[in-house]
Amino acid sequence: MTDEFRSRMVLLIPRLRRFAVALTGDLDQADDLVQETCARALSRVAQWQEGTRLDSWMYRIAQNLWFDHMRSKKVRGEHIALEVGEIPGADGRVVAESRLSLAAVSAAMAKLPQDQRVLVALVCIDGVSYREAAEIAGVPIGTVMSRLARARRQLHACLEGEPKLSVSKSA
Amino acid sequence: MRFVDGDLPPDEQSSMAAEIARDPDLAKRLEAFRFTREELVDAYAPTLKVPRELMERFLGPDAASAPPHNRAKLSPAAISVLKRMNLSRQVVAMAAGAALLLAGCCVMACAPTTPGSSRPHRFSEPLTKRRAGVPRRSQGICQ
Repeated sequence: MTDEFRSRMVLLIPRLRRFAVALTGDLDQADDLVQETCARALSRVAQWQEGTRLDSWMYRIAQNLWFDHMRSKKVRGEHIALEVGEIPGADGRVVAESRLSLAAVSAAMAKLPQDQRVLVALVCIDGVSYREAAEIAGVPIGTVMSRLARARRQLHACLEGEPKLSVSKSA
Repeated sequence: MRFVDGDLPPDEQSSMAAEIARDPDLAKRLEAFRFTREELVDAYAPTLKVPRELMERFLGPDAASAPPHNRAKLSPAAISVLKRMNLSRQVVAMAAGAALLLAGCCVMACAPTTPGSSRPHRFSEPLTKRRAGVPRRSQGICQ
């Protein structure tokens, strides 16, 4: 079970990392969150029910860990924007494409309340359905839609006209 | 919004698409939703490329027992003892808590509770006086 679980988790990690970056707005914190989520999932593998969606289960773990962290730190509203730091790709090359856009998007996301940020990360970025997002966030579908609509209008207002960097370089 | 997110049934999706094609105002109203769908996906795309060393960190052989980054770390010897005993940290913590509780109950049971007892109450002195001359304890176990 654990080996199979682990291999399924490997496939999920890129999406989990993207979700964590969207949630935290910071690469280091996102990687810590992914690490802790994986550790938590592996230690509680017995709680996961075969046949249910692993991604939803792990997103819920990551979301709860992040909310707990935020509560304990009482850093609501505080945000560390993505700096000019480069994002190394899997092959070691530095990928600069869309980096400026990522920083701008992270700054705009940081202005959203946590519950809206989770839904944007799930639905807009990860493409999760409203129903699944509602289950992960633990709110009704109607709430998902109203929060998403508010968040999207705010993001659009913040990001409209932001310049995009479309140059990629390798190191 | 459900249309942009593809959350409508196929027949409603296609009729909505036709409606939007006819009505520029409607298309404009959907702009914010389209924007946050397409632009965000592109912006976060680089984070999908997870370097190998990060992957190993996330799923290392000891991922399940490895302490996350910011927590106090157990010594390798302690970890090996725990592994040998097949005990998780939570079990050890619960056992230690229970032992402390038991010890506290014993102390409370032995302490004099009647007024006029010859022994002064432990916390009857001012805190500053009690602390005078007492070496300062370390700031925290995690440091």
